[in-house]
Amino acid sequence: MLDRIIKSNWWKWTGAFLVFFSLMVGLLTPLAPGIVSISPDSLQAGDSISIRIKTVNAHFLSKPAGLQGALSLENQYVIKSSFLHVLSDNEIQMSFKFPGHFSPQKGSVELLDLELASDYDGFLVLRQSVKLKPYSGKDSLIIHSISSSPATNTETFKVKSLTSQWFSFPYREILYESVRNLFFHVVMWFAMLTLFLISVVYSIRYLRSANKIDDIIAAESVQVGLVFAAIGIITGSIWAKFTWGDWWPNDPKLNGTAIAILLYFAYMILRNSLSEDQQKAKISAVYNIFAFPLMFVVIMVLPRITASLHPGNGGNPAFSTYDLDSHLRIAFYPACLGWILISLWIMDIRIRIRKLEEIRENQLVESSL
Amino acid sequence: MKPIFNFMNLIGEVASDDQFTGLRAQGKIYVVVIVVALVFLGILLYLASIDSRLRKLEKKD
Repeated sequence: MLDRIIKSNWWKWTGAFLVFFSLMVGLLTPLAPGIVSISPDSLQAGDSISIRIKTVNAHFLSKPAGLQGALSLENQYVIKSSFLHVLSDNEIQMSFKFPGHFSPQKGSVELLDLELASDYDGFLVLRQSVKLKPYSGKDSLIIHSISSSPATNTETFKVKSLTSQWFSFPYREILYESVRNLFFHVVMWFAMLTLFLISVVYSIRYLRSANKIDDIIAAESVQVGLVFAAIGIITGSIWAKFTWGDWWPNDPKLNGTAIAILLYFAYMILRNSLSEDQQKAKISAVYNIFAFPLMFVVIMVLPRITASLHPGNGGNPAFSTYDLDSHLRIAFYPACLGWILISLWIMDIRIRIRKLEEIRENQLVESSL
Repeated sequence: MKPIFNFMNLIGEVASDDQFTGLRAQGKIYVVVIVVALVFLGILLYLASIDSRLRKLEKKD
């Protein structure tokens, strides 16, 4: 049954199609709207102020329905804009009449979130972007610290939970467009994990059957898995440089991956250092069975316990709604499956070459006898 | 680095700020371009190595 599937071609073309699909969706989907800059970015309690806001990918002029803006402090105090003037799709002028009693204590500054929402573009926020300085009026009686006085004209933002209504990838500061690397970097590791899993399964099978083909499959899937790991390391390094600011930040996920790759390099070196075929197969199979759980622990378990820059680690659930929204999933899951199938395709070709090599060697041995 | 062609038409307008220069320009889309190119290059190099292995096998004939 499994043999028939492996010999057929449909899964290879499925893999190719899925990768193509994820490439198209991953590169052509626009990014959700976001706030880029605001000026001025500070105000004084008791002031009337006009703030100019620049956004990207928004449609405030062409689809203005439900448009509103606000300044908020930790989502508890919300001051809605008193006047809102749309200059273009991505430029808005908002006025605020800021009450004097809504003031930080003298000498301190509070950081406010700037919020924008419309029916079409959903909810946009630039966190801690507006400095609020304390009230400087003469009447010192109306100055209270924010934490002790509830603001009078707070109105909850009703559209807060909405994401944009058009198909888009989430706008994240620091990441921006590079969120698309999810379909090109992260999937490499899923391919690698699948190949290493297949490898350990065939290593176990070899120890039970002593069939040489099982050993070949185990060795070749580690080979292909290491190539995908190398691509994953290089692409990850580039992505880290331009988001986290370092080619190799000291992150448990990265260091764990380095250890895992060294583990499997050792597997290849071990194989090449043993000349006797059966001994080679047996020892490397046993090593592989130890290497796989160790690899799983340093890549998947340890980074989850300690703090890590990677999402889904340091106690955060992987694939939470924040890290991986439903639009990203539409391209991410096909990309994963597609790259796994492509890696299996490459593995299949290598195994067939290896089998031919074995046959050829046996022929040479027979003819020399 | 100046954009080779304007991605804005393709994927919508993106952030352009002073701190976004070089590969960080245009909302860091060039990081994606490099990553996709490297994935492609990696697969291509691997293809070449498999090809040379097959060539060796053919030569043994």
